[in-house]
Parts: sequence; structure tokens; C-alpha cells
Amino acid sequence: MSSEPGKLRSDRGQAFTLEGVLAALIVIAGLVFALQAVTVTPSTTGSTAAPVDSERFNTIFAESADSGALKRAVLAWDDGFQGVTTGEDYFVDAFPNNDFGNGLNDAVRPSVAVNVLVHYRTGPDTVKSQRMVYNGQPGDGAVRAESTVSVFDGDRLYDATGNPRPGTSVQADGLYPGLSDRSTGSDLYSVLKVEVIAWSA
Amino acid sequence: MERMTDRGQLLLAGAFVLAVALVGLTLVLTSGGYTTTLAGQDNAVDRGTDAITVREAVLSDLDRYLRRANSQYADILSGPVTAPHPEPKFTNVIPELTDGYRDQYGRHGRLVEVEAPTPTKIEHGYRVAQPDGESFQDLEAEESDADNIVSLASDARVRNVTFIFESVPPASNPIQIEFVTPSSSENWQVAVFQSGGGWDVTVTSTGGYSETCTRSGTTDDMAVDLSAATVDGDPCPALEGVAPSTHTYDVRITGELNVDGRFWVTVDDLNAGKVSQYKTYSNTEIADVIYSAKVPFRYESSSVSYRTDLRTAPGEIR
Amino acid sequence: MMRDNRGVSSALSYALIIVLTVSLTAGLVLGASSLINDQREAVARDQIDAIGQRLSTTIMTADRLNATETRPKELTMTRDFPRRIGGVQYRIETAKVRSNRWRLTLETREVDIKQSFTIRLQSGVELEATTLNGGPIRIYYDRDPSDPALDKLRIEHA
Repeated sequence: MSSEPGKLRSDRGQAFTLEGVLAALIVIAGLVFALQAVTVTPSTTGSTAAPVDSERFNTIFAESADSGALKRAVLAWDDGFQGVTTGEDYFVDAFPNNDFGNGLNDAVRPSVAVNVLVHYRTGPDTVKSQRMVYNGQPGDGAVRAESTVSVFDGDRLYDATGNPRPGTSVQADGLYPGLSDRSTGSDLYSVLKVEVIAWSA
Repeated sequence: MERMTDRGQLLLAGAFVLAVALVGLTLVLTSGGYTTTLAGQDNAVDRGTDAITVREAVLSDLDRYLRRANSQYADILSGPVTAPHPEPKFTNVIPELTDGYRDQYGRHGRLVEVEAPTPTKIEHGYRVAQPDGESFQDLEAEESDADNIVSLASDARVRNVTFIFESVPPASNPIQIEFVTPSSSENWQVAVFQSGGGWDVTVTSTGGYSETCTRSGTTDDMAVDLSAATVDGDPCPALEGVAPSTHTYDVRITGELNVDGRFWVTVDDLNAGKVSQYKTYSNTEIADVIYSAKVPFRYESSSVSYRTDLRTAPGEIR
Repeated sequence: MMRDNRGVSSALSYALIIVLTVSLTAGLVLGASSLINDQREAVARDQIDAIGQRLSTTIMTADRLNATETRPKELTMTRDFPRRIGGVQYRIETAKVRSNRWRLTLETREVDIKQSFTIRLQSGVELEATTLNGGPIRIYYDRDPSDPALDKLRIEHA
């Protein structure tokens, strides 16, 4: 067989140990891989509950459209949204003090951050966004909802709490930077899109 | 030596068995646990609730514009109409709205369209108004009706019924706005009079309903909006029972007419024979307006296909 | 000399190795199969829940879209649901409970899971009672040409 039994024995022992360890590793790796493949479902991805149900935002949009609160919030503009105290032209860490802003405020917990953007077309291919409320870049798991509101030539501009400013009109005083009357032959000024984004801050 | 070879072969065979078993196990587990993740489908467009939001937004836009188109009316009693009729204005803005919607909604693979309604889908109406502050006593009685009855509409659907009172009579002889249904279901009476330190609005009906709202103070104008059920902009539960657009009514003003104020009413039909009688009222104006319109609406997205007519009738309770 | 140092004979050690290997593998397979079953059941239950919620929401949304004064000319909602859950087919069934209330039931045969959901319709339209296998679903509004009261919401395969 061999002339060195001692050497054989130690080799054999090492080989056995190696085999044993490798086998154990293979078994464990196979088990982990196999079990991991089973439990992939949406509800077990480990994601936390959404910060706000997007249905809530859709309801707020529907109510604000119905009552005109959305239009009043969008038209509360005078070179910046009315009621802003920070020096920018949008709200930071606060909501507008009108019906739309109050509705949003009631819908979210204090730990949820919200952005409100107004998107509008400035040309055939260009779209600009005006911030109404801005609290930073949205994090993971952000919930979005949007709705449109049309603005007409003769619409009055509003103040911070939703009262009309007499003597003003969208056509005469203009609205967001770059926004112009999209159809001079009719009463429509533009169709704006309001987007609300909420995430857990 | 033979044993070593045997053992080696057996170990190899054992290793093969183990490997095959593990591979088989993995296959069984993965095929048994085959799942398609549904997480990617959970947004408002796929769920279909976006269609509802869009419909409400479009309806709100149409309502607002119909109000605006109707507001620039011209009095047909004072001579040839010079201001444009609201219908062409309304139908002209619809293609522009569609263009705007296409821009905003196209970016998420949605198609939103409104079509200009054909003339058959537009319901014409009239706006009967006394716009300047003027005493109601200038409104003269109609010949065939009893004294002190002023008829604003006959067997018509009425909307946007708003009265602004600059003074009101005492409680002994209130001014009353009556809604009489020719089909003799419930008749409503809204009585306005002074009481204590304020002005009362009392609503009664032939069905036994009786409620009152009080506005304190007697110096400011009081705006009573019967369609929106508000007094001076504040909700008045008493008025909620009236709901003038739910039936067809004869609308009359009775009682003490010696009050100052203004009013306007949108009706879908005027008693044609009595239009000339309105001429006797010094300041009453009657203008052509659109009472309601059915606007074809279309929404297409990856999961919803929806076409319907949206009925726009601002001020009507839906 | 080997035999003296090792307390065990080679034959026994071979047998031991083989037996241990086989028994470990067998134990692994058997234990894992019951673990698989548990996992499959849990996964299937979650998925049925999710699918049922989505389907009932879709039906109720179709109902809300229908709740306009005028009957919609066309209303079709298409949703992509998987044909199998955990490798198992499932069945969808709708039945009327009472006026304006329907019950939606999803069940699988093999893993034996059954979940029910309540659907409340407000527009007054009837939901047709159906039974169909899971998969892409289309819900559409069936206008009756003569009588608006006979309109129905129907569910079918997409």
C-alpha cells in the first residue's frame, strides 16, 4: 500500500475534514438559496406601510376640484405664491393657508414630508415645473397623486387664504414664469397639472 | 488499496447523489414557490381610480367655464342682443381643453378627450335677474294671478337661485319665495323677515318641514343662495330641504314686496306667453344662457377604457 | 497497525459514511418538503389576499365610474392577474348577498385556501354572478339596448 502509514493517515484525516467541511457548506448554501427563492411576495418585501394612501390624495383632489379650492390655490400667485415667508416663491415646511393646503395638512402625519408641484407647458416640447411646497428630494417609497386644473383668461388671482383679488386677471397679470396664453382665440389660458408627492421623512 | 479505491468511488457516488438531491430540491422549491410579483401594478392608473379623478377634474373645469360663459349675458328685453351667445363660446373652448388635457395626461400613457357637444346635447335656458338694487315693489302683479304674486318661472327646473336683500319686512308680513310643483308633490316656502336683532330665513313645506336660520344684524345685505343652501356664505341647514333643481317648479314671490334687493334665477324654460309681461318690471333682465350641456368624455389608459357624457350644470346638486 | 490505531474497521467506517450521507440527504429532503408546503401556503394566502383586494377595488371603481347621470357608452377595465398562485390554479366567484352587496370568493383547490371579500355597489347596477379561473380579467359594462335597468357589470377573461 504505502511505505509511510503515518503520512497516509494525516493526509486521509485532512481529506476527510476537507470533504466534510465542503459538504456542509454545499448543504447550507443549497438550503439558503432554495428557501430564499420561495418567499418573494409583494407583502413580504419588508417595505413599511406607505406614508399616505394615495387614495386619500385622490379624494382631496376630487373635493378640491369640486369646491374650487384647487383653482384658488393655484391662482394664489403674485410673483411667488401668496403667503410665503421664506423669501423663495414656494412654501418650505409649511402648507398654504387655503382650503387645499389645509386639506393636505390634515391628510398627512407630521412625520410625512410633502412636495406640491405645478407642471405647465411653455412650448410645444417644453414643460416647466413650479414648486408650491418643497421639502427636499422625495425618499424611497414616495406616494404620488396628480390632477389637472384649467385656467381661463378671465380668472381672477387670489390671495393667501383663498379670497379673490379684485381687478386682477390671469390674462392681464400673468401667472408662472414662462407660462403664456396657449390659445388666444378662446377663453382658455392653460391646463395645469398639480402633483403631490409624499414620503416618510 | 482496493478499499481506498472503493471508498473513493463510494464517496464520489455519495457526492453525486448529494449534488443531484440538492439540485432537485432547489428545482422543486423554486417551481413550487413560483410567484409573479404584483407589486409593480399598484398605482392609481392601473387600479382605475385615476379615471375617477380625471373625470372629476374635467367636470369641474367644464362647470367653471359654463358659469363664465353664461355670466357675460345680454338682456334680451332691452333690444337686439349684442353680446355673444354663450353657446359658441362654450363649444369653442372644448377643443382647446382637449389639447391641454392631451399634453398633460399623455405622459403617463393616458388619453383624455372631450368633444364639443352637438346642439341637441345643449339645453338652453334663461337667466331672470333683477341686477340693480331696486325695490321689489316695482315688480307688478301678473294679471291672471292673485295680488302680489310675481312669477319668475312656470313649470321649470331652476338653478342658481340667489337673492340679495338690502332690507326685509317685519314678521307680520314676510316676503316669501314659493316653489310650487304642478304635479302637487311637496311645495316649499322660504319666508324672510325681521325678528329680534336679526333677519330670519324660515323654510316650510307642505310635507310638514319647518326650519329656521337666523342672521344676526340688520344693517348689512343678506345674500340667500337657495341652490347652495347658504346664507351669507355660511351653510344654512334649513335651506337644504328645498333643493330647487330636483323637480320642476313654478317659482313665485309673494307677500310684502316693499323690500329692496336683487335676485337672479337660472331656469330651463320660461313661460313664453309671459315673457312680454316681464317687460313691465323696470329692471328685470332676461338673457339666453346654457342651462346644461352633455359633453362627450373619453378616457383611455392601460387598464381602463371609458366613454360617457358628462352633464355639466353648475349649481345643480349632483 | 491502522486497525489498531483506529477504533473502527474500514467496512464500518464506509457504512457509516454512506448511511450518514444518505440519511442526512433524506432528512433534508423530507424536512424541506414540509417546509416548502408551509411556505407555499403562506405565500398563496398572501397572494390571494392581494389579488382579492385588487379585484374588489377594481369592481368598485367600475361602479363609481358608472355612477354618472348618463349611462356610460363604454366602460372596460382590464387587470393582469397571474394565472397561478404558487404554482396552483385558483378560481374566482361572485355571488349576490343582498341588494347592492356582492361577495367575491377566491379559492385554490390544491393548497385549500378560500378567502371572501365584500363588494358594495352604489350605482344600482347589477354585477353578474360568475365563476371563472384566475388570470387576466376584464370587467365591462353591458348596456342593455332597451332598458337601462337591465344593465349589468360583467366579468370575463381578458
